[in-house]
Amino acid sequence: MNSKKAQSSMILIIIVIMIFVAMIVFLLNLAGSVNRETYTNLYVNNLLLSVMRTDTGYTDSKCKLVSDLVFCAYFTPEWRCGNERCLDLANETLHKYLGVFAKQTNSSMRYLFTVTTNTLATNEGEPITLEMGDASIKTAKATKRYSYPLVLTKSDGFNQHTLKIQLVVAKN
Amino acid sequence: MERNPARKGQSEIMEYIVMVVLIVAAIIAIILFLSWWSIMQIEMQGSKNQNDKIVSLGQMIMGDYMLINEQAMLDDAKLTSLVSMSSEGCERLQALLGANWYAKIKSLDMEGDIPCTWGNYPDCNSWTICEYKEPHIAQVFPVNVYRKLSDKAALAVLEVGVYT
Repeated sequence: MNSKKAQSSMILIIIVIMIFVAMIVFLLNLAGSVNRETYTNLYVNNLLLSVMRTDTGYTDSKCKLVSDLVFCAYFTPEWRCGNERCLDLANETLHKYLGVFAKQTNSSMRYLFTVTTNTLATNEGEPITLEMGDASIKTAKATKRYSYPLVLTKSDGFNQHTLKIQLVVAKN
Repeated sequence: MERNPARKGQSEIMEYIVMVVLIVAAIIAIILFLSWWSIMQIEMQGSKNQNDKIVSLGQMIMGDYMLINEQAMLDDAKLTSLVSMSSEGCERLQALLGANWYAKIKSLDMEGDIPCTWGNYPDCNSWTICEYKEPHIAQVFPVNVYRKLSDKAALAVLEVGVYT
């Protein structure tokens, strides 16, 4: 009888220890992720902003900055920057700059830029979305980081266009 | 067959002794766990503080009009002026931002790593504010460097490190 009582006490003690260990592991993980969150948010938002503000080397107002190229790729994809369609050039430039950045920081990442506007929509009323980068990231199981949408406005003659650009990155 | 009462008593005492030993072991294990937990918490807090310091230093550098034109757009002329002041520039910044850190900015519009001075400006692409030494922990931030003479913005990396 006493033996059974001792056994059940032991099991109880082991369960209490296991609960302690689980709590410690959970708290450690939670604290670590909260700590990283601030940095990764800053990183992904800065990456989007910095890339958009970078000069492309072209002087044409539709192709001068990366953000100009994105506007051009969205509204007038057939426009030519030098010898290239601006849609192609936008894709190439984003790929090049993110590649240079990843190489410099010894990181490997997948990215997707999503560009939408409220002024253009399909017949069904859905906003037209331009995606540049790795579209498979949307369904990937890897941990993804989303930037805040960057809202850019640009005047083209009498028209004023507004674009909402968001960046998603995932580590390889 | 009847059991010897003396033996029964002995085995009960043995059971109790084993039980007491195991309970004491469990209590010691819990104490060790709690001590380990406290040490881990202190270490983690230290690491968190260092990471927080890096993030806040990064944010301050990216927002300091002594170095930038607009948010996260570092001005190459301002940076060159600062690094040309030798330790004085660092000391001024450390008076504002605290000690024991360094910042390294590298513009990605040029290959290699060419430290900037007024002698080679603007044909250079890196600036180190405050002494770079080991051991340290560092984080990188994407930024722009504004090339004043060509009026162009280049993609750049800001590395901020604190000494451990």
